[in-house]
Amino acid sequence: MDIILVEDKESDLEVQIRYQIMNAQVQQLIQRIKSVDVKIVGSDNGEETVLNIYDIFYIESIERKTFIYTKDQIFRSSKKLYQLLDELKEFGFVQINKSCIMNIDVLDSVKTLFNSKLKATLINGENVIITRTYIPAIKKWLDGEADLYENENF
Amino acid sequence: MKMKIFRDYIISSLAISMLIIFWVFCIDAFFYNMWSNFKVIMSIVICLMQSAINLALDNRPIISMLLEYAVVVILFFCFGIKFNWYSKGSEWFVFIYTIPVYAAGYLLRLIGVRKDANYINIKLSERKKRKVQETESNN
Repeated sequence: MDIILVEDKESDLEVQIRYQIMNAQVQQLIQRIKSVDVKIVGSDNGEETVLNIYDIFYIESIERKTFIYTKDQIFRSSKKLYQLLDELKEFGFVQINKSCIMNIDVLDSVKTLFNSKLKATLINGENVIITRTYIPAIKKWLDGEADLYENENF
Repeated sequence: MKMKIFRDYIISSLAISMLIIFWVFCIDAFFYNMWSNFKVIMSIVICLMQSAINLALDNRPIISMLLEYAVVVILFFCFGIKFNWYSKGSEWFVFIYTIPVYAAGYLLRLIGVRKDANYINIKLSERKKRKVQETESNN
């Protein structure tokens, strides 16, 4: 992949991607570039931080307060869970129970719990609960991604 | 977007219609003593109870399971007495009757979820393999 940089003081910031076929790699590139425009602000002890969306592991709403969890930090967000889901769903974030959305990229494995729920283990070892209602969304996301790679191989 | 608005419109219309029907049947039952329709509606309410409990106690699996069972037992007990499902003196049978029905339903649900868990784990391991291949080819 070649990167061509053109300095043009007259124009706005523009990114042009030239590709042979639309494959998973191109899709990922588009997603990464689009994510630059998404600003998720979290506060930790009153200090506000702009978070890179790919550093977010999951977002949870507890007693009407929204918390953003990264690998080893927790931030508070002023936004509601549904607002964050709207902003992040195209970047691989899915709702896993009524009060939590998760970045699929950090999902390591799932295990069945009693009462038809799944225990999701994340790459940092943390566990979150996936309820039955939201399992199809996760399957659909994983299927969609797999389809992109399969199309690429044809 | 249009599809979502259309779907939401259908869901809210159906919900309002169901609420109207529910109240009409309630009035029929309590004021005009027409219990036959009310029984049907209450069966639907019993079926929806499980979803309502799951929604309310999303992150508390043990409590929600116990509460779900307790609600089913209480509802069967109340309806059994109201509609003479049990013979006199053997109302306590409800606790036994409910267990196999609940257990069968629970096992069926568990099998479905196990299948989903296996499917997700397979997809995740395929995904990991792809990432490793991508990293290797980039290097």
